[in-house]
Amino acid sequence: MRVGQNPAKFVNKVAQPADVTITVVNFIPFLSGFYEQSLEVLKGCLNSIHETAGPGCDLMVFDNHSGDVVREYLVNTFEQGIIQYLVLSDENIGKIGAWNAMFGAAQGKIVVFSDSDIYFRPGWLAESMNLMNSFPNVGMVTARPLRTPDQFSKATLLWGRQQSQEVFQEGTFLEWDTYLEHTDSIGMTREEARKQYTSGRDYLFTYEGHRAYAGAAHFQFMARKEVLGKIMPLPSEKPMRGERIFDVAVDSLGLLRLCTDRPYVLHMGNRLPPEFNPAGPAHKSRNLWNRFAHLPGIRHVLLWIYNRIFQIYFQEVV
Amino acid sequence: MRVGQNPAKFVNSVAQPASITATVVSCIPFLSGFYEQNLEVLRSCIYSLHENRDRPFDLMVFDNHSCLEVRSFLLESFNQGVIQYLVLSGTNIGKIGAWNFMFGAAQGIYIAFCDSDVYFRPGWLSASLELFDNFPNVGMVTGRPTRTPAEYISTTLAWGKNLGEANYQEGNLLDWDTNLEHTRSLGISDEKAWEEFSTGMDYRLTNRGKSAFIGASHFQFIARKEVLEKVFPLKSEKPMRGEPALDKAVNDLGYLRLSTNDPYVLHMGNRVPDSILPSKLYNAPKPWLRSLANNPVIRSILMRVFGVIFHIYFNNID
Repeated sequence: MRVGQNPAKFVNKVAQPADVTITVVNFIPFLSGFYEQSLEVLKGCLNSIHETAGPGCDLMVFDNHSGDVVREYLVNTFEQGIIQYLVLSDENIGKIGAWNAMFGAAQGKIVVFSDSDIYFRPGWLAESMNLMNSFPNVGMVTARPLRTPDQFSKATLLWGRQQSQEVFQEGTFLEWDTYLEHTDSIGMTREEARKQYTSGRDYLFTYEGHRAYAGAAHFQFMARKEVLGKIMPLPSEKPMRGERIFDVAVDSLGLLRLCTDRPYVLHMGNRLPPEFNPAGPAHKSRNLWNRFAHLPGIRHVLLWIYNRIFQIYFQEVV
Repeated sequence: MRVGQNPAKFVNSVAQPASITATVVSCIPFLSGFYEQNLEVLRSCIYSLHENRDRPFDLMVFDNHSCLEVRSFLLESFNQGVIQYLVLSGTNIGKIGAWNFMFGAAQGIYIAFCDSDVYFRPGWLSASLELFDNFPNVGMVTGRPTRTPAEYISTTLAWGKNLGEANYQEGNLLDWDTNLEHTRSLGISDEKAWEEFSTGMDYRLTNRGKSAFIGASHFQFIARKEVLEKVFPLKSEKPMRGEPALDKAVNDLGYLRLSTNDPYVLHMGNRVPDSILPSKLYNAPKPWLRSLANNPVIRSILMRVFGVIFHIYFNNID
């Protein structure tokens, strides 16, 4: 039975969701072989988000049934206040399954997605938002320049070709080092990378003072929640693969798929890049009063007093 | 960089969401006063759900920033496979905030919801789903007969009255013991309960051989995901309160709001009922202490202390 009144009924406000929800899906079943350094990579991802995103963002991590050590790390990271929403799944429902859950749950007007092997550099959020806000009809923005198959950016290229030459240019604009950083990260040989670089082409926009390339990638992107609401849920059939359906859906809706002109995010793969800061962020700090209130003896005494007062005034005799 | 291939790429299937997602929201900031027994209440809720899976469902628990002891219990239940999706929130976003999150994340065709102080009896799920199968246009179903304010059942009443006398009944139809069980759980005196019972009115419908009471309640219900998508997100302003917005929206959208004939669920409040744990849990305060406590000055001071301690631990969860 209910004894007394729930004191929470007299609290007049609750935390509101941030305007931006950053979502990360993670799956590290064990720490050997391919996954040997994946926990360190995950730390690099989450710490870099924490250090670069700023206070207007909620970080949501969906763990797709990782091993105990990884889950323990995630719970500790949640306790430190780095993760705002930690979702633990007791089965691997696939990356698309996690998208379905996270994009449905996210309450930010803007949703950012990242695989758990992405490193974020300062400025990624502001520059992605700039493109989102200055270009018309933006579907998704990835925070590094990439060459992606033209077939998934038909709406973007169509719009570009309707613009003047000052706005839309075709040619080789991407710097070799930027290109190489990404192809190295996916394990491509230098020879193959050079061959693809010289034979490929870029589509560069300069619009409202902002530069962007045509194309985006589903390993990291920003999208409006209302756009995701038109696309999700998608069928989830395998742990990985099938994400192209998302790119196709954004393009089919006639929305632009763009990426920033500088490499603000880095695909790490399953090995740490040298720039990773292994120290990670400091623990969530408490002020002196909070630390005092949570000292074991003090907390026990205060809650005992609280309980006695409650019993005196609210508890019916049973 | 990526070294080797992710073995997950060669896995060809992933777990699919169950067709029913049961969702629970918990918020127990500390284990004292009103919340002293809430961990035991939560345990009864979660275990009774788990033990009464007469149809398969995924259990999703959203923890609205409870204390360490409660989070530890939830993590333990997740590790035991009792909870399929555990969401830990870094702040209390309110019950409606948790609804927004969970109802967006849940991938079941049907979504069941309950507060964390609800006990489930065998057959609750099948009995609730039978009403969806046998009545048209059902918006929400609660697993025990409840009397609901008229403004939230106008659609159901209008539809019921067209069924004709044989299938629509009104009067004092609820049995006293069922009513008493619920009113006692709310801390209403038996005298007051009798007064309300004898002056109130019940409405019962029969369709395709199945009977149901008119009315449903937001402390526990089942709804179709597609219906909830029309209603959510709702504005979350306080930790509690504001939930009748759901009742109103479902009614205004023209859906039926029904409850089962028998009490399959039990509101426990903040004490585990004797029927579940048959023991006298508390000692009555001594008479002299009660007189002293009711002295206006003492009462005022103690209530001030009570409020201060509540806010210390409500606003600064471990």
